Amino acid sequence: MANTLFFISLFLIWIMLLYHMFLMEGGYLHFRTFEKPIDDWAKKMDKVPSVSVFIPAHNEALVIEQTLRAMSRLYYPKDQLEVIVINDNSSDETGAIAARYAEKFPFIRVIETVEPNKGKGKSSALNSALADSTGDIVVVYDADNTPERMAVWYLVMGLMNDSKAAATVGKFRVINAAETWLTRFINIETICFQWMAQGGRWKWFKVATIPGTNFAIRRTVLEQLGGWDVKALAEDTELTIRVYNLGYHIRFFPKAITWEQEPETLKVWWKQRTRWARGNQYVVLKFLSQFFTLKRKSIMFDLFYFFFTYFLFFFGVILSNALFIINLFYDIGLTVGDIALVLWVLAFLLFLGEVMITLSIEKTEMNRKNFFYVILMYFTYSQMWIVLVVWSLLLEIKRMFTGQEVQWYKTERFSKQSDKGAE
Amino acid sequence: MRSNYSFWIAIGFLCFYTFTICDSVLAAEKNRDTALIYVTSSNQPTIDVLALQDMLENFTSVDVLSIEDVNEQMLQSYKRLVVMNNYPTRIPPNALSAINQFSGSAILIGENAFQFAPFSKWKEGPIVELRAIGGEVLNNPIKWKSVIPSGDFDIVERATSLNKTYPFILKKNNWSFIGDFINKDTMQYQWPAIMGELLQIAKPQTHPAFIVLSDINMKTDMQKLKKLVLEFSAKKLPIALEVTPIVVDESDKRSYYLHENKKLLSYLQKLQKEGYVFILSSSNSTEKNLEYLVLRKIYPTISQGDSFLFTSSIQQDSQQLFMTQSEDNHTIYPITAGSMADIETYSFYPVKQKINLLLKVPSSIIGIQYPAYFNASYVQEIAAYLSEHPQIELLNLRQTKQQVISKNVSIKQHENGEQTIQLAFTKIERLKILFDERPFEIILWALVLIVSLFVTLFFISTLRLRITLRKRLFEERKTNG
Repeated sequence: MANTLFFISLFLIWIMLLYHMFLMEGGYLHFRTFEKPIDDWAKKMDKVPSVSVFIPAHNEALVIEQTLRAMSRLYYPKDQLEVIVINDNSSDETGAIAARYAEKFPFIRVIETVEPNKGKGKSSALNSALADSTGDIVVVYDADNTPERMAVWYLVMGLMNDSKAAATVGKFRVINAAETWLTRFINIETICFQWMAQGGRWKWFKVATIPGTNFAIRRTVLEQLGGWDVKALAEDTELTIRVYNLGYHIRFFPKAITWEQEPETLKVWWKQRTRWARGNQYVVLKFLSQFFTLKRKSIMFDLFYFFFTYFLFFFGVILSNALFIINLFYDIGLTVGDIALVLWVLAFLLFLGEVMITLSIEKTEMNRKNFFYVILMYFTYSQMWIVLVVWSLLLEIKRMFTGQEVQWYKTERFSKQSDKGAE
Repeated sequence: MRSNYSFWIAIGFLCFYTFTICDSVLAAEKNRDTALIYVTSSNQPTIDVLALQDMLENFTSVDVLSIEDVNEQMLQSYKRLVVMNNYPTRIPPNALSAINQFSGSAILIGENAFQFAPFSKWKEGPIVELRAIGGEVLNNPIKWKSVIPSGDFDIVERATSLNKTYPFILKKNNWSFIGDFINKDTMQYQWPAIMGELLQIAKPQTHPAFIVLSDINMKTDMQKLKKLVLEFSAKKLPIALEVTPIVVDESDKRSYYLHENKKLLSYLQKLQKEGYVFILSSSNSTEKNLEYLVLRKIYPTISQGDSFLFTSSIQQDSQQLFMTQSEDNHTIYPITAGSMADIETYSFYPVKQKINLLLKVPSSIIGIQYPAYFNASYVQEIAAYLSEHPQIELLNLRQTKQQVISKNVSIKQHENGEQTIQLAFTKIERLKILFDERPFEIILWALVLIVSLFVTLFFISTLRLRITLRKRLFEERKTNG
């Protein structure tokens, strides 16, 4: 019995690790090739479409100014660009700061959410902006983002050169990586996620997930879909599935870069990631229950990936850990030989190899300090995820039984940043 | 019988000296000196005839002949003669004449006695129900046609019915008569001595003995086994370990492999290095089980039950009382004293009773089975009993010549205890065996190989990136806005 359970846990864990290994190879290959067509693509950028940049903001006074400063410097014809700050029931200076920029830059304007969308979260705010804008392309940035000058240009370039793409997603980097041990972990995590999960899936399957920020999507598609799902906590993942279900794909184009702030304290991290985990669990359950009604079965593969990630993989890890701990105190008849230990070491080396290659792609990130952080991360940060996913699952199950309304948690921002006062 | 005891000792020392020191002497004394003639309705040897043959062959060489084939010339070359009559019939004249003229020691058993010259004056008695022969009580009464012998015969042993005794074994000069060969109950332990005496065959004084720790398999508790082995070792009692490497559970048809109990396997490997003898017990293919064990560095030299791969085997539930060696040099060590675990309380008692009976059988072997799951408390009793009986000589099976040969395995055990091992498995065969035994683990090792390749690839790519990325591909910055 113990052996059977152990083999089940091994299967669940390694099916995911192998898939990630495969994705990592794809991500690396994508890195080596994605820049090659840029010169050709640039030729189509003589006449660019109109773009509406949405920045949902709820009490973002700490960060909105730097965001708007970055927006003001975007490389894009200003007659074709509108930047819309969606001030969603803020009680701080967000509206005032945004208004100042709106006065100074004609392509920036501020809209206020109104009932019934007021204070209902990101999806509602985005839907408000969608109704109040005209751009052919909609670009979304979180309020703490500082996109690089060419970011929107490249996002649009991706769409202009790929008629089957409904959206282009860029790459985001952590601006406060050096602040705390937690932000260092998150920095490594995000780099790894983007090259492995985004780059790898794009390379092999032409699949990428809308990350919630730094992406461009065609207005026609958004209108066809009826905007964002206000019930979804992970509105980006939910939107991704619906886009693919229409027959489009989402292009990952890491040339478009934005910098964003990540949680600096465990409390904020926990709340933010709980929302993500619950949101993704909601999406998986929502669409898996509609398995036979989904038009594009190809997206099912990605849904199963999420299903494995948020349900089976963690179940496998917990099962494996439980068997390991029980076996320390009580002989449960585990007869698997040294192979278990070899696999454990190999899983660690695989993790190390994958993270190191992604950090090397980012060049400056592959340094001695980060190397030790990666090792530490495996035993701390990665394990925290297990607890978090279990907790999120319990909350989601509770919600399903009690019918409790989903509460949107807005990620808290931090004023103490390494770049404060820069420029 | 008792009066000749000293004589037997002297003869025994002379003739069976080598028997007392090693196990391979039986064939050496065989010089074809006894003719066992059978008279049966089918003209084929019966079970009793074969049992008698086995018994006699422990002391001397035996030729088994049908009464139909016997002639005078033929019998001249034999020193001893046994005529086994299972069937009342008229003895062919040629055979009758030849037997009548035989001058060596001769025994006539059962029917047709009156046709032979030495017994021609005897008369037929009533059919009676025998309940005992000598001091040995039969579990079930046996019908027997009694005889009224002539007065010139000495009565060696009497048989008893409910209320009367009858002459059952008689002797006069070179001729003896046995009423019936009743080879059951405790009588089977009497015959070797009786036959030896009547045929004037030397009676050896020692009994080879061996102890087998049986029922060792994946489910065996290593600590319990270790305690048992240490106990035997402390008492200086050599033991052999009977291991079943693959146990098939009939209820769920699952195979349990020895390696699934890592501690036990490791301990057995240690015992192998220390020079313990291993006996292979296999519920399915012997070759497969043998290969399984040798691939784990445990080298069995004896099999449990017959196997053409091994030159020696132990046999349980055997009626044999002697260590036997067939013409193809296959040696059988029978578990004659039974298993310690046959009863729950005072488990040594039935074994001791059996040994007591065996001690009556000249040169009989004493094989004791001691299951590994059994507690070690009886080792002391065994040791005490053996020390009280110096005629019991424990065999160290590691110091016997043994050979095991299969397609891929060759194990030669020399008398000095050394083993010569030769394995001829190809790498593919080894892999196939491992895959059959542990398919999941082999798949996992394949996984290890694949992942290792990728990990290596990733590290090479990392190195390559560090060397080749001279310029920053991405606009890194420490500030924003």
